[in-house]
Amino acid sequence: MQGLKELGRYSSLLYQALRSSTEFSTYRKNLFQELVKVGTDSVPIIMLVGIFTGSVMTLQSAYQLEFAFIPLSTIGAIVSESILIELAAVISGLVLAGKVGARVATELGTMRVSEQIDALESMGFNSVSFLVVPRVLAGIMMFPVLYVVASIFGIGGGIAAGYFSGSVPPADFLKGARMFFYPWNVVFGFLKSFVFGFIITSIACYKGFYARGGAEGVGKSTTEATVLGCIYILLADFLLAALLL
Amino acid sequence: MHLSNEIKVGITVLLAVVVAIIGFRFMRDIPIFRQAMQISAVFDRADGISNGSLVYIKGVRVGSVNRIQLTEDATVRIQMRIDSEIPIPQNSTANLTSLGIVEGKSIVIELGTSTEFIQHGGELQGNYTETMMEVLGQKGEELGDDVSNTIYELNLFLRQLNETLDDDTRATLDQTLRSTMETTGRIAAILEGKQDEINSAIDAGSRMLGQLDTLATDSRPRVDSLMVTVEQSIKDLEEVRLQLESATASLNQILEKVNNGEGTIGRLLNDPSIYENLDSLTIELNNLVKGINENPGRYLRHMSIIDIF
Repeated sequence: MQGLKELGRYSSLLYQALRSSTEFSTYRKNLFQELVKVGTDSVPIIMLVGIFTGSVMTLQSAYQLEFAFIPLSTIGAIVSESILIELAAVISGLVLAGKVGARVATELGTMRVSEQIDALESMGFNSVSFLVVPRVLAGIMMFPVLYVVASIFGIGGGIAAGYFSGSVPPADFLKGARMFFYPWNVVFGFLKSFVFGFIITSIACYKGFYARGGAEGVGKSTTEATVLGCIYILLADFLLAALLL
Repeated sequence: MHLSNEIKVGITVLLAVVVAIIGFRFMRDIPIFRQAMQISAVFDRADGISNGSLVYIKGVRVGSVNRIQLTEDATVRIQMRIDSEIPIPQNSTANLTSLGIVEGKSIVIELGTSTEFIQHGGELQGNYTETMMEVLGQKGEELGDDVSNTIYELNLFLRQLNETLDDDTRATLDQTLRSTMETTGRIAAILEGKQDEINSAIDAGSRMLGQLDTLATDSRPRVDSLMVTVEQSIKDLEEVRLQLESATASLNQILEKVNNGEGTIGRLLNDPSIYENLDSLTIELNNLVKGINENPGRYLRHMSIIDIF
C-alpha cells in the first residue's frame, strides 16, 4: 500500500513537472545553475572515475588472460566494450547518485522543512517548475555529457595502464578496441546515461520535495534518495539490457 | 575572470561534443580531419568479416571495412576505407582471409603491377580464401566416420584379443615373459662379465679402422697414378687388338686362297700330281742307282776316266 502511494505521488510530481516544463522563463536561471552543478562541476570526479575504471579493467583482464592462448588485442576489445556499454554509464551513475542525488535531495528537503517551498507557493510561484524541472532537466542533459567524459577517460586510462604496466601495447589495445567497436554500443551507452540522469534527479527531487520532520527528516530523505537512486540505476540497467540487446 | 553559468555549460557541452566526435571517428578508425578513400571489392561470400574488420597491404594495416552488402547477383560487396596514401594499382586483388588460427578474418590487398591506380570509389577484384578451420569443418564429417570406423574395428580387435587371452594363455604368456626376462638377465650378466673384452675389441676395431683410413689416405696418390697407367695400358691393348684383328683377317684371306688352290702354295697343297711325279722320279732314280751299282760298266761304257776328268 505504502509503495503504491509513493508511486502515485512520484508520478503526479513528474506529471506536474512535465506540465510546467513549458514555463521556461520560470526556471531558466535555475536551469543553468543546475547544469553547472550537475555537469561542469562533476567533470573532474567523472574523469577520475573513468581513468581508474579503465586502468583497473585493463590490468585485471591482462592478469586473467595471462596464460590463455588469445591475442593481446582481446584485452583492448574487452575493456573498451565494457566501458562503452556498461561501466562508463553505470559507475558514473552510481557516483553521481551520491554526489548529485544527495545534494538535490538535501537542498529540496531543507527548503521543504524550513517552509521555503510553502513560501514560494504562497507567493504564487510554481514550486515544481521552479525547483524540480531544472534539476531533472539538468540530469537528463548533462549525464550524456558525463558519459562521454567517462568513456574517453576510461579507454584512455585503459591504454595508459596497459602501456605503463607493459601488459598490453597501445597498438594491440586499439586494434582490439576498433575491431569490436559498434556504433550501437555508444548509442546504447548514451541511452543509459540519459535514463540514469532522469532516475537520479527525479528520485532525489521527489525525496527532497516530500521530506518531513526537521533535520532528521532531511537526512532520511537524502539517504533514501541515494540508496534508491543506486538501486533503480541497477534495475534500469538490467531492464535496458534485457529489452534492447 | 568570472564566467557566467551559461558559458560554463556551453563550454562543457561543446567540449563533450567535440571529444565525442573525435573519439567516435578514432574508434571507427576514420581519419579525424580528412576524408579517406573509399574502394570496394566483390566476394563470393563474406564469412567472418564485419564492419571494422581490418584491411592490410603486405601486413601493414591501411584501412578498415565499413560496409557489407549483398548484391543482386548473390555476391557480397565489401566497401573499405583506405587511410593510407599509397597508390593501389588497378589490377590489385583483395583476398578475404585469416591471418592466423585465432585471429579474425581480414582483407589482404595484393598489389598488382598496373601503372594505373585505383581512384576513390573504385572496385577491386575480390577473392575468398577458405581458412584451415573451414576446410577442417567441411572434412569433419568424413573424418568423423573414419574415426568411428577405426574405433569400432579397434574395439573388435581388443575383444578378440581378450577372448584369446584366457587364463591358460595368460599363464603361458606369463611364463614366457618370465623366462625371457631370465634370459635377458643372464645375457646382461654375461655382457657385464665381458665388458672389458668388448671394450678392448671395439677399441682395437676402431684403431684398425683408423689405420685403414690413414693407409687409404696415404696411398691415394699412388693408386691414382696406377689407375692412370692401367687406363693407358688398356688403351694400348685396344690398339693391339685392332691390329691383331686386321692381321687375322688377312691371314684368313690367305688361308682361303690356299684352300681354294690358288697360288703356288695352294697348288702345292692341293695338286697331288707333283707328289706323284716326285714319287715316280724317286723310283726311277732308285732303279737307276741300283742299276749303276750292279753294272757300272753299262752306264760308264762310253766314258773313260780321262773323258770324265
